Amino acid sequence: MNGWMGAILRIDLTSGAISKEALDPELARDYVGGRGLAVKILFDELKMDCDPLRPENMLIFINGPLTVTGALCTGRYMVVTKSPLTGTICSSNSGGYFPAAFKTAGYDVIILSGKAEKPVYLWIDDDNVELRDASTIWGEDTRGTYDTIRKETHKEARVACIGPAGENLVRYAAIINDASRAAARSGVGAVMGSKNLKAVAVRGTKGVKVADPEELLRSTIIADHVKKADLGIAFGEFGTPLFVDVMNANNIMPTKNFQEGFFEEGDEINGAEIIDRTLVRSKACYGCALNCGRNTRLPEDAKYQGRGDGPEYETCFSLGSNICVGDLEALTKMNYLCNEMGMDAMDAGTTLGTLMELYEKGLIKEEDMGLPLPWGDAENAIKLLTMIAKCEGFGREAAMGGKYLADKYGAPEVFMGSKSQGFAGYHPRGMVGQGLLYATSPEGGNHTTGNTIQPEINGIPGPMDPLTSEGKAEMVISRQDETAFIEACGVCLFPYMLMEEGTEIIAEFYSAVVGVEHSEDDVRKIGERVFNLERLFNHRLGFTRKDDTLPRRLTQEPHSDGIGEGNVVPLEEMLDRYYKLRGWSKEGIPTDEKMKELGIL
Amino acid sequence: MIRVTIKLSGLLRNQYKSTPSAKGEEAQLNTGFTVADLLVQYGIAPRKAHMIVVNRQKADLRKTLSDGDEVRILPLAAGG
Repeated sequence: MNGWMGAILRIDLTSGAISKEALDPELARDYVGGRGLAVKILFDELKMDCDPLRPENMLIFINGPLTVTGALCTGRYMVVTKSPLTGTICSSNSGGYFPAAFKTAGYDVIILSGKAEKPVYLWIDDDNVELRDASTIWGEDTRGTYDTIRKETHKEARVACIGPAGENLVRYAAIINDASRAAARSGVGAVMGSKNLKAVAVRGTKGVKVADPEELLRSTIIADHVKKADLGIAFGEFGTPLFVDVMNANNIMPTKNFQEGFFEEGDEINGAEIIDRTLVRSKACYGCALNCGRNTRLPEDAKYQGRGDGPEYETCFSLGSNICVGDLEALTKMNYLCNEMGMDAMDAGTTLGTLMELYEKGLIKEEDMGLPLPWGDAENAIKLLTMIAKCEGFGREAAMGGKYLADKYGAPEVFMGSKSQGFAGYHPRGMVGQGLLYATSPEGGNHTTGNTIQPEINGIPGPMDPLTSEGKAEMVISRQDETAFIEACGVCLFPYMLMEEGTEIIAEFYSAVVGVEHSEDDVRKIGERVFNLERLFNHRLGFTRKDDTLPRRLTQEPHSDGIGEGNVVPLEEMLDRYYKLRGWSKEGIPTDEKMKELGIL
Repeated sequence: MIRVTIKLSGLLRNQYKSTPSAKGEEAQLNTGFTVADLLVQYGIAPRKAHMIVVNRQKADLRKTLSDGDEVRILPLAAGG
């Protein structure tokens, strides 16, 4: 098969059985790879009402047909499972070098099921696959695990592992690969921990066949074009924290648990400050043209010490503006801690934001938590993050996430997320299409199932008022479907979502790799199929319009002063139109007619 | 004369080397100067100023500046 390796690796952790099977070409044609093919496998095989943290749940590692090809930014993989945080299907993606090793070992998909009797890790050395004892590294942080496993296996091994947070079933535990890249969201690390699986280590030496290598050479020209564009250069120079300035100026940088959209101390935690104070070098994933990664070190005279990667923009929001921490060094320390413990820095931040607001309102007390937690208290936030990862004291409760805490302490309205997952760093009152996108995302407050910055903030391809509902349902559907296809391909969202002609370009790359001509409409249709299957999956678990919600802070409380002052998200109005255009019922239920049209049923 | 604070973001900060830190700098302008005049003073091509924000409100090149204004010149955005 061109593009795909044509092989699925199955691991039954209960019995220890390892088997390989051929990838069905028809499934690959219809669902491609990444979250597309994975949701199809889960839809067909998973006992849907299973407890996500029981052995019955399945954990899928998956790349895509464009991973490790000559196309642009091809170093991505996804982890797909039923989420213990949201109870829905979820797909968490990551970059680095693990994805390339995974694919060149000869596999498109690794399906993990059951539960090992004792801690193990999976070692894949091309065709040789084995489960190894992980008892001695259980409890290790992700950096230590990475180092130990590389010593035990091969110096070229690439490692994806969990830290203490995953072992302790923190509902927003991450899987960390290459020691610092995170498949962060939706608690995929907790599912891995529930299976007693500490890590997947892999070395790959095979090549990937593509149908039309000459056509793919065009990608080098496009990569050069992306690199030389202002935004491409800025990505490499400042990384994603560049956008602190832009989001803050647009009054959409969520601050104080989304009470406001502007952080007074934004200039202390932006991309320029990172360059001036902590940056060691920028770094890239496999096959990347942008180099947006930040390798950083805290200065020797700083209060906190450490070295690692980040923060990204999302962390500048979640552990910065969202909890009113304007101290770059403290924010960076929290980011390191999340990576080392194997925890999603975004939901860690939205959980802290929930707690700080509950504390401000007097609904949770110092004696409940074992420490005071006023806005901006970085020192206690750092203590609490460690308690969460290790499930010590109040950390055990906070490990359940912001939704759980808001409900338990009597103020469900203070949790800023949807479907129990905390929002990303874009305030929907200042860009209401993003609100619709969060509400209808299959896994709640997630920015990688699509974001609306390009149309709503940059005004590309044409002017769009971010504050009104006009054109938003159409735009969100288009962004969601295009993103679903890009993520099915196993590539990075950034270049394709940044280029106005991104969908056309990925359709050309896909055609060149698999050897079958696909137009822009063809790839959008595949994306629509993937998105609809995710919706159907969730619907079978009981999710409907009643779950496509936003907190009343976004729909009823007026936006803070600055751009968009007084605005709210007109969600219900947008939802009506969105469902109609999707071909779903007024309750947001996918219709048989639509499912048949897309070839799902 | 009026004094305004100018904050440049992204590549503008690097290309024009006018801002010593991310926190901005104060500029002295003639009374009646507009944002367009400010850009000329800093040598910034208007097409590079994707978004202009004065005192936390969107503005255009014709906006007349007043003493004490804060002007932010911003590049394109993306997610992250």
